[in-house]
Order: sequence, then structure tokens, then C-alpha cells
Amino acid sequence: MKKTLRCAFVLFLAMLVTFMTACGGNDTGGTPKSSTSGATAVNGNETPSGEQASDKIDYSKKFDNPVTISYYVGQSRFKEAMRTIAKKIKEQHNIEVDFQITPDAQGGNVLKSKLAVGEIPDIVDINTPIDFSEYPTDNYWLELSDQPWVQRLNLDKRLLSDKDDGSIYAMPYLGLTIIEAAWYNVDTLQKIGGKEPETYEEFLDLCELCKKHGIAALAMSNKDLWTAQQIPIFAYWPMALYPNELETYDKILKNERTFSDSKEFIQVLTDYRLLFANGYVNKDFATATYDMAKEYVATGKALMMYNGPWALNDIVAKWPNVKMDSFPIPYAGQKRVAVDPATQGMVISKDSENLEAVLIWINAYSQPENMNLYFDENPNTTPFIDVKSEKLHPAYQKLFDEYYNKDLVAYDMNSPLGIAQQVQSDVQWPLFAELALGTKTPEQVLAEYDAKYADFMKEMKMPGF
Amino acid sequence: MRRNNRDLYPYYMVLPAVIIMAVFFVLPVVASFFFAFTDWNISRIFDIEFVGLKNFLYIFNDEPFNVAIVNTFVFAVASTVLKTLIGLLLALALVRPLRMRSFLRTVFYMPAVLSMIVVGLVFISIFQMNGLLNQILEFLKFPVTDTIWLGSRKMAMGAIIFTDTWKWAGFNMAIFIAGLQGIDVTYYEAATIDGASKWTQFRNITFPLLMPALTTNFTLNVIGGLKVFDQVFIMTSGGPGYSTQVLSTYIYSEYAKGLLGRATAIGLILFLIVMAIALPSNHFLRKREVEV
Repeated sequence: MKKTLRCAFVLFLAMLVTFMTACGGNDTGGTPKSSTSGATAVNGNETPSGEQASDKIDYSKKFDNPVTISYYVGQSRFKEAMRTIAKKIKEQHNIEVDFQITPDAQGGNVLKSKLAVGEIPDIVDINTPIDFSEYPTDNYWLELSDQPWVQRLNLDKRLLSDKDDGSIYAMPYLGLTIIEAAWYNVDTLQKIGGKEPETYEEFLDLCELCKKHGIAALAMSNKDLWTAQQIPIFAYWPMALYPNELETYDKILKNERTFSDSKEFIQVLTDYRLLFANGYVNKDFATATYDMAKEYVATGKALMMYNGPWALNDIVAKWPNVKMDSFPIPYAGQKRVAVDPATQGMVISKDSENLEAVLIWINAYSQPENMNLYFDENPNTTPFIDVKSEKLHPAYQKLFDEYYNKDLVAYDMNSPLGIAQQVQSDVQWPLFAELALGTKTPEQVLAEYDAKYADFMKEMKMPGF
Repeated sequence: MRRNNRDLYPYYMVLPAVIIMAVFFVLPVVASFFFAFTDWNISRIFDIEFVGLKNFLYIFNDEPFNVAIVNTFVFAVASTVLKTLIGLLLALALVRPLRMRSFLRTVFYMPAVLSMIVVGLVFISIFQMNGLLNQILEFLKFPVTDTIWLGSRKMAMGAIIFTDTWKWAGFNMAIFIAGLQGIDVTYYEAATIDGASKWTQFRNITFPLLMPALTTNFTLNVIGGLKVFDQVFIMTSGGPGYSTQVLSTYIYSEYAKGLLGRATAIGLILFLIVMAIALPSNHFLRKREVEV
């Protein structure tokens, strides 16, 4: 008995020492490895390094044996059309895709964990260039500047990298995506006798009109906390700061000013709170989900919701008979659309074990005959000159024609302050939810956010903090 | 010479379990004693610096932590009392020779085997403004029909406690039934002959002899209550705002920011709280168990 106990104790100590040694100050870090499932080496061919990729790759190649690559994507971004495209590419090239679909709320956390331990999927679906501040190109991603589809791009290349040297690290599958506006139900607006507002006062009058008719002016869905930021961060603050919004964000990034310093932000949060206090939103805003908000707009229980074009696309896809239109909320004397210069794209792990297959796959994905399958179901702006989205919804096209193309835009803070995304989602959004409930004042919200933001930036060892 | 039963199985047969327990539980706990005092960050996962008590100083000055501590204790106490009480009442009712006893035991135990995600999603729907609960209350002419249970700072925690109780009362019932079935019926016969009332029999026979089951249930409920995560995360994510934040969701929010050292520090605090409450209470209850 004593001998066995001694052996067990020694074994335990050995494991403890091994564990602590492994977690000791190892500056070199681990070696990232791709995470693939069932991937096989390409039929005796060498998997090329990134620098030689386009020289050695036959982009029309069909593999003799199936090659499986992994694609990491958030739940709301995954569309069935992607599966259709993957099936088609499988027939063309014998490349299978293991879609690793994660819930939106946890997607970032799971990805960070995977990156930290070196289990990197072959392809990762990200917001570019915002997400490069969290997942830098130098650490993880393959440069794609020499890929054949680059010549066909119809997008500012700076959106596809975190560098200023013209290099590209992401293949976009959408054009410029983040243009936000209020998407409203045309029939509901006609029923209450309202019209698109030209000023903020008219907007509030419209909200009051909705209230008189017993419907919510704005469908809010604070159960899905990411939607709580839409109005203050997109609809209000950029307009209030215009034309100095980018300069303001830059100063905040460098700790030259705080959120509380911005009297505009205090006014923004005050006006945001009034939307709830005056009963202009659905009563169950604290527990309603994003899907419920879309339903409220589609079924006439609410007039409008403020969000990106994905909300519009989802509504018209599920309720094709609903007539939708849009307007930017005129705020602080500005009638502009809020823009986040970003898109959605695919980045490739530079340590992927199936680099050849991955590069062939994304090149195939970018071809018009495949991308059109996506845009037929999900109309949006396209990233390539030879890919047309014929079915861009008029409400969305209107924002380009009447605002974006006329440079009537203002920029939100998400991309400029991309490094602080995590503290936004875990601190800012719940604080907005508290503000909506009336349990915190705008000043309290900003003071608390400033403290948490500064603490986070200090932990991240950002200069100036 | 007759071998002792203990000698039938050599001690090394427990080694696999010991190794698994050590690797997946003991080692992480021991490691947390170290990482809690560092600036361990997901973006610098192998570049760790010792920072002393900095993490703890931040935590104890952070308002959400204070909210989380209070909520954690409220949840643990309320859910423990409700689960134990309701479990006991169900057990007392279903230990009798009823015709549908087996069926009813199954029905009440069933929620315990359901996934918490499923239960959480179902109850989110029930607690919606136009959900089942408000419709029932409206049918019964109650005045609270407009309440958004999970959107109300005062009601949200209550709704979560209710859900947790619904899920686990049956499990408590099962343990109590096992305890009740272990009580010799001759005690009750003797008490009945002596003219003892039902309440007297319960107080002097059932309750003392049920102490082992009560100890088990109480300890499991308290530990589970202090460590609660699933129910809160699924139903409210700690909201509205921070009003239902508990220690486990607070740990998760720090982990989500990549601040692994701080998250570990909170985990260490939770571990110490659980040990400080569970061990003495378990010891206290065990001393009151009656042996026959």
C-alpha cells in the first residue's frame, strides 16, 4: 500500500513539473499547426509554400483522392449557398469542405483559443480589415497578393490587409458590406400615414406617430447584445462627430482623449435612452432576439429596424412579399449613411497542410459561375468586376445611389478601434443595455466604459496606455 | 486465512481514475494558483509575467464582480432551498404505494436528463412577453401579464432560479426516495402503536434517518448553485445589463477578453468560496447523521 501510494505521488509530482515547465516563459511560442479533418496529402505532390504558391499551382487541377479542408465561419454569416458552391467545387476539383460553424456570440472566443494553441483552420471567415487588429496577418495568414483572382478585384485593396504596402491577405466574398440604415416596412409606413424623415425632429415625430398607432417605431433586440450598439455607434455618434469622426477615434486609440470627453457621445446616449423612455421601441426589447426584431418589422408590429444590409436580406428572404425601403436616420443635422469600411472575406492559414487545395478552392469560389450562386440567394455588393449581383434590393441600392456614391457618409468606430472589439462586446454592449433599461445614466456608462477600455488597452500593452 | 474484501482488488486498479482526476482537475486547480498571479493573456499565451495581487485588486474593485458575488449567493441559497424542499415533498408523496408511482417518478425525474440548452431555450420562450407563462396568468386573471420576466432586473434571477428548480427537483427527489426506502418500516409501526402523529414520526424518525440523503442533496445543490453557469448564460447571458451576472459568467467575460490571468484569479476565488462553504457544511451535516 505504502509503495503504491509513493508511486502515485511521484507520478503526480512528475506530471505537475511537466505541466508547469510546459507553461513556463517560452518566448518562442508554439508552432501553429492547421486544423483539418481527414486531410490527405496531395497525391505525392509537394504542398507549396506561400511564396511559390501561384507558380506551382494548377488552378484547374482535380485531385485523384478527395482532399478535405476546414472552413471556420460564424453562424449568421454561413449561408446555404456556400454549401452549394462547395458541392460544385467538389465536383470540379475533388476538394471537400468541413464547415466549422460556430455561434456568433462565441465565435471570436473560440477562434482566439484555436489561434493561441495553434489549431488554425485552413480557411477562416473574418471581417476584413477590422479583424486583423485581433488576428494580425504576420502571425497567422498567408499573403495572397499573387493569386489569380486579385486582378479581378473591384474593391479597395486596403480593406484586405493590415499593411499599407498594397499586399492582400484576404479574399473577399462580398463587396463593401457595412452600410447601415433604418430598414422599414413600406406598407406599415403607409398605413400610419407617415413619411421618410428629413430631420431628427421629423424622425421623432414619426416615432410618436407609430406609438399612437400602437406599433413600435424601432424593433430592438437587446437579447442579442451586438444589436444594442447599432444606433449609438452607427446611426448617431458618427453623425454627431462628422467631419472629425476618424480623428476622434484616432485620439481615443492613442489615449489622447476618452469617451467621456466627447460631449457628443453623452448627447448620443441621452437621445438613445429617450427612444426607450418614450416608448418608441418594442416592450420586450430586453429579451427580444435579432430574429424576433426582423419578424416584428416584417409583420407590421414594428415600423423599422436599424442594422446592416444583412437584416434587409434576411427579411426579404423569409418574407418575400414584404415591401421594404430604407433611410439613414438624420441626426445632428446630418443625413448620411454610416459606413464601416470593411467587408467579409476568407483568410488562409499560412501553416495549412493543404495549401494547394485551399488556394485552388478559393480561386474556384471566386469565379463568377460560383459566386453568382451566392448572390442569387443573398443579394449584396460584389467584390469582383465580373460578378454582378442583379438582385440587389432597391432599398440597399438606394443607399449607394443617393448617399455612398455622393460621399454622404460618416465612419463608425468599429474598424478604427478594432483592437478594442472584445471590450466593446463584453463591456460596451451590456452598458448600452443597462442604459436602455434606465439603470445607468450616459455619464455612468461612459465613465465605466472608459475605465474598462483603458484597463483592457493596458493589458494589451498598447502604446499610450 | 480468509482474505479481507479489500484485498480482492489491488490498489493500482484505481490509478487510471486517479490519473484522469489529477490531469483534468487537480493539476488545473494547482496551476491556477500560479496563473492567477500573472498577466496571462491569450495574445501572449507563452509570455507570462508575475504581477502579484494586481488581478485580485482589480476584481475586488470592479462593480460587476460585486454584483456577481451577490447573485451567486442568492442563486445558490434560493435554488438549494427550493430544490431540496420540493424534492423532499415529492419523495414523501411518491414513496407511498400509489398506482402511478413509477410513472410519476419518471415524469418528475425526466427534466434532470434533459440538456440545459434545451431547457433554457424552452423557458426563454415560456418567459417571453407573449409566452406561455403570461398567457396562463392572463387566463387566470392575474395582473402581471405584461411582465417580461427575463428582461426585468427584478424578475430575471427569479426566472432562472425557477428553471433550475424545475430541472433538478426530480433529481433531489430520486435521492430522497433512495434514502426513504432505506428506513426500516418497523420504526413507523412502533411509532404508530405508541400513538405518534405523522408529523412526530417525520420529525423523529424520517428526518434523522434521511440525513445522509439530505447531506448529499444539500452538498450537490450548494456546489452546483455556487458554480452555476449554463442556466444564466443561456437564458440571460448575465443580463439584462449585469443584473444576473454570476461568478462563472464573470469568469467567462474576462476569458472572452483574452485576460486569462484575471479569469483564473476569479476562478480561484470561486474555488475558495466553494471549498469554504461546501466542506464545513458537509462536515456539519455528516455529524448529524444518525446511525442505526
